[in-house]
Amino acid sequence: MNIRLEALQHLYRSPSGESHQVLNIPLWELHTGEQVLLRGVSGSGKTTLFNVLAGIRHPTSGEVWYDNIGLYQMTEAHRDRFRNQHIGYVFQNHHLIASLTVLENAMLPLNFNPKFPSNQRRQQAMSLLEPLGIHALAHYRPYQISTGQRLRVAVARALVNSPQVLIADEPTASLDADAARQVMDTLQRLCHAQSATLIVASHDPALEVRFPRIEQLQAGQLTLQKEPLSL
Amino acid sequence: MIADIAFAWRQLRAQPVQSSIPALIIALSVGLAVVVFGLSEGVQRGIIQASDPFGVLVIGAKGSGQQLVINTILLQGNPVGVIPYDIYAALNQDPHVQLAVPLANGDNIAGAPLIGTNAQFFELRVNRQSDPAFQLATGTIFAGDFQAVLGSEAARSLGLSVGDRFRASHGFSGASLASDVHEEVYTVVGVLHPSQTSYDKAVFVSLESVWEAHHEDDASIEGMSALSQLNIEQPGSENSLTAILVLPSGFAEQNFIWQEFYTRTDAQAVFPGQELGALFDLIRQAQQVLNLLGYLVMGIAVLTVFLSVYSSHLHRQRDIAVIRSMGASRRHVFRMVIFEALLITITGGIVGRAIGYGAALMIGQVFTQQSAIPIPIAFQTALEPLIWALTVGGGVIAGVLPAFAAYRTDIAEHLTTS
Repeated sequence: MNIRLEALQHLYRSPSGESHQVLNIPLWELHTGEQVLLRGVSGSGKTTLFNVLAGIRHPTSGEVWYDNIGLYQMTEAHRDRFRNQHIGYVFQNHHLIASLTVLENAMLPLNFNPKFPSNQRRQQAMSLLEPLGIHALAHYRPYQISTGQRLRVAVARALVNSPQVLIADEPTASLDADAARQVMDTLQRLCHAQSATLIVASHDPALEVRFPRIEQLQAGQLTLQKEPLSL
Repeated sequence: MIADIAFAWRQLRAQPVQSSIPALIIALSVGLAVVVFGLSEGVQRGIIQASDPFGVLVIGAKGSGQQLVINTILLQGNPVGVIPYDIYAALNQDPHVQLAVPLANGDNIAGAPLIGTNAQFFELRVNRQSDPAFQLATGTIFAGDFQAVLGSEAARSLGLSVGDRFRASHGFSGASLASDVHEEVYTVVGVLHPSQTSYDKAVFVSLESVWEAHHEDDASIEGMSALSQLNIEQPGSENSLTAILVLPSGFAEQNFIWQEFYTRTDAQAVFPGQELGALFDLIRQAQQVLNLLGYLVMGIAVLTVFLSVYSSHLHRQRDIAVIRSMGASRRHVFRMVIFEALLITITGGIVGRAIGYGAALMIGQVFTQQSAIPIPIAFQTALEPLIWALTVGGGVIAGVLPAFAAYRTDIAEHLTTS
């Protein structure tokens, strides 16, 4: 799925009433199956950009196009359904639901996908827990597993609906080097297998070699730092 | 929809204490309603059933008509007083009367009331076409003095059967002084089938046996019981009766007899249906008070559910934002929160029914053991719409505000700030 951001601007209003521009992106395009690393200092607007891409933060102006579908031209209910079926999101803090087991967390997006057969939800979630090495933890609660394992559950949840776009916000932030490598291997392999576009935000310099394209977000503007060979 | 219910159930399961306490309060309020309705209806049905065989009129001493009926038909409390046997003799010859049954009580055997009567008692029927209400299971009806026929419950509780012998005590209570025990020895000659009336716990003997036992007492002041000394006109005095059951030969005759006794000074005639109707009015008034209490408890229960669900929502705003970010619509999260409240109230309603019917059955059994009146606890079909309205309506009322708050949850705000 091709992604195109057009004339995207987002302003925050501070408690004092002043407006601060967080995003100012005249044009940004990503192609189907592309894997992009997004860099930027804390507060540069990476999470805001991801929220806008995921359809959970309405930009002040501009549009996000998925192929020829304008994300913010849809009704909110359509956007919810679109996000459910086409966009996977790995949050920086994982955001697992404490009252659900690992398996139930991984299955969560399937509950809101009417196209997915209900009798195959469990099997689909397990098929992702297995390559992520956490299938034995299926019935554990999030508080019973490690941070790295929680991240893998969040990855499984993001991929469970076979999304065409996967957004991961600092997925390796709380992991040691080995665990970070394993998670990134899995994430990139699964996205590649599903031809899903992958956008990862990270400070980790070790990830730079993994991505053919790197973008820098600074003062709300995107700058291409590493260009893919095909471009 | 099913996913929303399943998710709501998981949320409740994850907080067992916060979820079960409001459900328990709902259960108690529903249980209270079931107990009040079930017992009230059961007691009324039991009393009506227990009074069916006892004719249309009860004749007894002047005084409280309700006490006369309750003592004569339900064997509760003390007799109002005594009336001369001559009244029965006259009624027995009266062409307006189809059946007259004399009753003289005042003694007991280990708490089982001793009823002096005659063979006409065993002719009593629920209606003219039905079989006699009091039929022998074994043995015969008493044919002479100091022979006794036991009601089914009396035979069971006293452990007596045909051929056994016993002595009666003065008064209505089982706790008698040694001096209250009559010298006469009764022999059991028959045991009755259950009649579903208070008389199942009674022991039947001839009138003459009662009079003779009390004549002996009256002859010697030393032999008189404490009760006799306190009340010289106590029931069982020679040639006196405590009540007469009368089945008039027709409707006009029934009114004729009632009018005749209305003007008399030595006795009164009362309609059991009328007196029991007044008693039922009292029961219904008590029921109304308890119903108000039930509504109050239900209101508190709904408030508790609201507080539980709302507090749970405040702690789970991030979870709701996560669910929304996974593609759940605002409607989904609204429904989930409503279902949470409904699951609490409906579960409470189901548990409450179990508690209510269980408690009503237990209380009914205790009442039956004490009175021998069977209390049928029936499923309260009429109460069901009210319970469903209260539990479903209560659930929706308790859940709507937290659900609306969940509906309005800003996804990005809660995912960014946590």
